[in-house]
Amino acid sequence: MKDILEEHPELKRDKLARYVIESGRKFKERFIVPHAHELDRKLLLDPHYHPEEIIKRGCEFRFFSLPVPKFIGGLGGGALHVSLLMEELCSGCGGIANIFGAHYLGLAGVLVSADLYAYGKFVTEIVKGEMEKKPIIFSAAITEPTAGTDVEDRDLLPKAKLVLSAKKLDNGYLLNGRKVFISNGSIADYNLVVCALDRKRPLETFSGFVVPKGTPGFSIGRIELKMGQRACHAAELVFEDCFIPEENRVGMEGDGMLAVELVLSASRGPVGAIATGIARGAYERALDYARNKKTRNGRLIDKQWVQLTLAEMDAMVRKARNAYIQASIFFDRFILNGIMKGFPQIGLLKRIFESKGFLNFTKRDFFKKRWYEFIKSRIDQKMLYTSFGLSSFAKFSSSDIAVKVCLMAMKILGNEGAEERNLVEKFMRDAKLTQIYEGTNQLNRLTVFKTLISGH
Amino acid sequence: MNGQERKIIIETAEKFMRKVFLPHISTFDKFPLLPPPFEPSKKFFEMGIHELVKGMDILSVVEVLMKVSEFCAGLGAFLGYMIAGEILKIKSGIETDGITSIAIFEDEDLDLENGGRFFVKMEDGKLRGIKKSVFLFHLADIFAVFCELDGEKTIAWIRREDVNVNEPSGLIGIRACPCSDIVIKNSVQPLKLTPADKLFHYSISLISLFSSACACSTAISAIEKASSYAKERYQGGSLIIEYDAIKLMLSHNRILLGKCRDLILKTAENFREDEVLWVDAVRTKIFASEVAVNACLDAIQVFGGYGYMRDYEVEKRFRDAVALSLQPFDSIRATLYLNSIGTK
Repeated sequence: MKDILEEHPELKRDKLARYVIESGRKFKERFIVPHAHELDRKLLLDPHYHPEEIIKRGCEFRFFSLPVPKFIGGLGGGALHVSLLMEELCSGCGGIANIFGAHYLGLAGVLVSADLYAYGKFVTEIVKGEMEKKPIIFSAAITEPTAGTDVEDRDLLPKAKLVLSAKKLDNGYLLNGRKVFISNGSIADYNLVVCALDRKRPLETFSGFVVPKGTPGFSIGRIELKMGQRACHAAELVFEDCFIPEENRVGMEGDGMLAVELVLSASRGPVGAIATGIARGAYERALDYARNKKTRNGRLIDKQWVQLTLAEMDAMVRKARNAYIQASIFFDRFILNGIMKGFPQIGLLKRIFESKGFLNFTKRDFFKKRWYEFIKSRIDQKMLYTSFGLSSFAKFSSSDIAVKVCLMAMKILGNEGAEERNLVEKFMRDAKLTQIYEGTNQLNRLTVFKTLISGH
Repeated sequence: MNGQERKIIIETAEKFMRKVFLPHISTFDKFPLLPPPFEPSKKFFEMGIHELVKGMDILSVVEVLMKVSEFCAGLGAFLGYMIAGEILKIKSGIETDGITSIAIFEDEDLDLENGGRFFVKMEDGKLRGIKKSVFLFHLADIFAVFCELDGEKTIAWIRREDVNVNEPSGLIGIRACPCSDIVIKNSVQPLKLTPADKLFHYSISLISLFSSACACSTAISAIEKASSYAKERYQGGSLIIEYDAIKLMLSHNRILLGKCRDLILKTAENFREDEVLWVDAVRTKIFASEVAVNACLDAIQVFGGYGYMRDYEVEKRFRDAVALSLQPFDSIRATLYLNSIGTK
């Protein structure tokens, strides 16, 4: 497969895109590929193990602050940059890569809310942490035990069986209930938790809260033993009379579903990139195997059926890549740029964001309300739904491709394809999850219908 | 074996699975990382498997494999490979006790589209080389090593002490049926040599049929589990079974799996010495592999996030189906192989 920069020369002009691809490649070769197999085996016996040492190395490459705006010290990347990094890392191991992916998902919830208090209080921590080589990790908690698909769709949410709710108090909220399958949930420093204030009116009261690690009443329940992507924990989050101060609410009360849609518009493209990376990883290993496997009359790659299969796989990976690039560029241009243009881009220094006075001012409800109304006015609803549709399309098409490509790779390896040492089976296991998380592919198809076909 | 006798042995298999094996299935699934809880072959012999093997009643064997695979396709594969080894031993006139392990695959591609060829050769009465993906290696007393002697396919029967066994490979699924590479020690003199031109095709067909049976059965059970789950799980205020996406997935797979099951049983019933009938077994395998893997993928999809977690056992059925789809070979090589043995 040709290098992504050769196939997409427009990316060469984007300095950050070049940096992300190159550093992703280096990180993968140095820290992922040598450990992926061993780590996968280890996590089968101990799902609580966290590859901290590997993840820490991400600080050197500034992976944690990749999407953090430049004006608060980040690299200022968008969905495209996150996607490019995800493809690169996932071609090594979907599990390790998804620790970064889930971090970006949680962070996206805060970033698209444009909540200045959250920027100053939580997001700046990421930049500080990176300098000190102590990664600050985010997660997004959306799925509930009895509501998965429901909480990602505004038509289904009103009938969802929700178990987590936030009760409003004078100066904050009391959270009770559970979230499940939360990627990074067990290791995150900050969890972005979305829940209803009134379970009978979830759509009108859905709201987002930042729950820091160690908050009284918040604990980690079960860590699941998954089929694949094991390096990235899927944890249960338990809330028992967990008090969250009002300022930790991200955006306004009742804007939770809009936030979810914004986040999914931003993140389903990168999920497509995760799937593309996994497919590419399987393809590259199959190619390598075919080049090295001897036959009586040469090598396996000399056989026509192998060439046909590899060509098909190559084409499918390329299709998946094009889908996520299109979705990510659209989101960055028409949604993220709109939000970020709300911020004064020059003259506002990182220091202001960290100052106590600034934080005290921005946490006040009257400010939040006006500011958020201003930010919302910068989001073009029509463009948002197109972006939502394109990212959902990228997600389901790339993940379906990933599963198909992995199955094809296994066939090239024949009965050796099932063996752990060849890693193709691991890509297969990792690929299946991309058809499930961030909304099942069935829900994503319906989202495409609603947003791109029926104009709902 | 008549219908009544067959029914009894299938019921016995079910009882055995529930009583003896069910509590250990999750441990088997972590093998080779964890030691196996016990040795399954003795338990299978207690079940009366010898009678099936002696009677060469392939239909009954297949039905038992399907019953066992409803619970654990790894144990189904274990039993299948064990029986295939016994049958091969009987056909080759080998009279030793213990388990036989069949060694077919090699470092080099077998060139199945040209009928299959081996790089491991008998030269000057001695055998050497490496065989890959050898099942039941850890329990085998004797190995049936497919090799070439003067350009002809041959089985060299060698003792356990004549091979070194590598670390278990660790497969995506059917982990109760462990697999490894074996290194034949230098200058091994086989116990016996059997001409294997026909036996090679027979073995490939038999293993194809057995793996189809295990894969189909595990996929049926995955779809049934998904169907039960869909009748309990609410989404958007309705049971998910009421959604078209779920209905279509379940019905489509049920139709294909039903056809697949019928085809497997029909092929098993007709499976005799006739080469033309062996071809049916490989054809069945090609169909069953695709159907079973897709059905298990859909079953996980119905479960959503829960399906991806090991507790719900649907993901295990998917992994088992994938592993079985590649035994003894994948569907592309199987199709090319069919052409090589003269079928269109």
